[in-house]
Amino acid sequence: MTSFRNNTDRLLEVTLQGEKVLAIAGAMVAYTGSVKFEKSLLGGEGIFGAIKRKVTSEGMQMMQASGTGTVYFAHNAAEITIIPLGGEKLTIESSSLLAYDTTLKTGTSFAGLRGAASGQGLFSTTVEGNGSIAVISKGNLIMLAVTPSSPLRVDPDAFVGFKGDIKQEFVFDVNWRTMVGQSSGESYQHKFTGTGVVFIQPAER
Amino acid sequence: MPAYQQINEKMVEVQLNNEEIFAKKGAMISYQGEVQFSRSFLGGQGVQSLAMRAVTNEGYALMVAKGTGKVYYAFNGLFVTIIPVRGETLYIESDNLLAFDARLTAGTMFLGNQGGVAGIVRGAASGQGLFTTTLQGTGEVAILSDGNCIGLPVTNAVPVCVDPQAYIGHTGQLDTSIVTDLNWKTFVGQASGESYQMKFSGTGTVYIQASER
Repeated sequence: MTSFRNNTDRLLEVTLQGEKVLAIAGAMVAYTGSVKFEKSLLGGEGIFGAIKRKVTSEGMQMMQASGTGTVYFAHNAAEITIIPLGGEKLTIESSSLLAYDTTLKTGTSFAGLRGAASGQGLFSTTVEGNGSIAVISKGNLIMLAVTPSSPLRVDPDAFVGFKGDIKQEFVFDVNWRTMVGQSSGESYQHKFTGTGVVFIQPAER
Repeated sequence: MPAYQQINEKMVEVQLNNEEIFAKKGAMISYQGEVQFSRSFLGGQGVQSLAMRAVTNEGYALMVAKGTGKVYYAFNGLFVTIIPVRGETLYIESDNLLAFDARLTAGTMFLGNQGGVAGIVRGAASGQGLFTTTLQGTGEVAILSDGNCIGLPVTNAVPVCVDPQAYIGHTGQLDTSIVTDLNWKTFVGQASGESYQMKFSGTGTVYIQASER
């Protein structure tokens, strides 16, 4: 398994030993050793997955790094957080994805109304399996726990992803002020119920 | 000699004792004591070098601060790193230069002088122009980076490849060359975005930033 490490909070260090890692195209800033970078045409999802991505425009320009050495990834000086997955399923905005192990399986899931409100497209990316995933966020990534007794509401613009046994719903807070253009700017939220973790960033898209 | 101190990761304090310091024009945010600021035309380099700078577009507007007191520098909320130069030459992109003291000699280096054609390609590829700034002597340099500045050590056994867009500068006995990684995918518009890199071999340090220009 590849080893993911935070060199600084904005630089990801991945050690490869004949392994492969997928990352956003163009995110490599430096490497040592002999590593090859190739555009990943299918993103490890097979032809069906690639077509689905095309249709849903949950598109990701990914590249595959393979070989032996150390690769450094960074993207627009955004903060990077490594989330280890042990057989769980993580749902994430494709724009927040930086790199992940090829041992993980990715796919597209229907995000429902939330996608329309957050402008992130109606579909989200899901990552499943055993391995590490590196997530970028504007500002430090914040993890909020959700329990059955305390559901969580999140601004769709700050939402990054979630993990665990969570149900998502859409909540409106629309009154006559919204209709006359005097909204508080927080008319839609995303409600999470169940047990798990929700990831948000301290910036709104 | 001027003492550099990092106030926080985005701000640097320089203590002047009747000394001079050069800095990016407009980067002063506050000062204490008796300090005068004036536009520096020569940047401590003499007329010939000025002419070269004008011709080569490796231009940066510098100001000189003179006097006794404390000066605080910051620029655009970018990260600031202090790099000590000890009798060696630091190559740095002029965009990333924040401040340096008058003990250092600044110059302009034609990249072609350092690595032949590959050097020219490097300048063209990184979009940084074909010329780079050199600082020589003993002193301190404050540099700017978008995201933390990371110094990667280069040894004879471990050469380092760097994305030209993340490159800030380097120091030490280093040879640069261009590595291309082109295959059929590149030509059908399916490039990985990492088709060429700058390879540094030798002994020294390469500085990169966590963002691509």
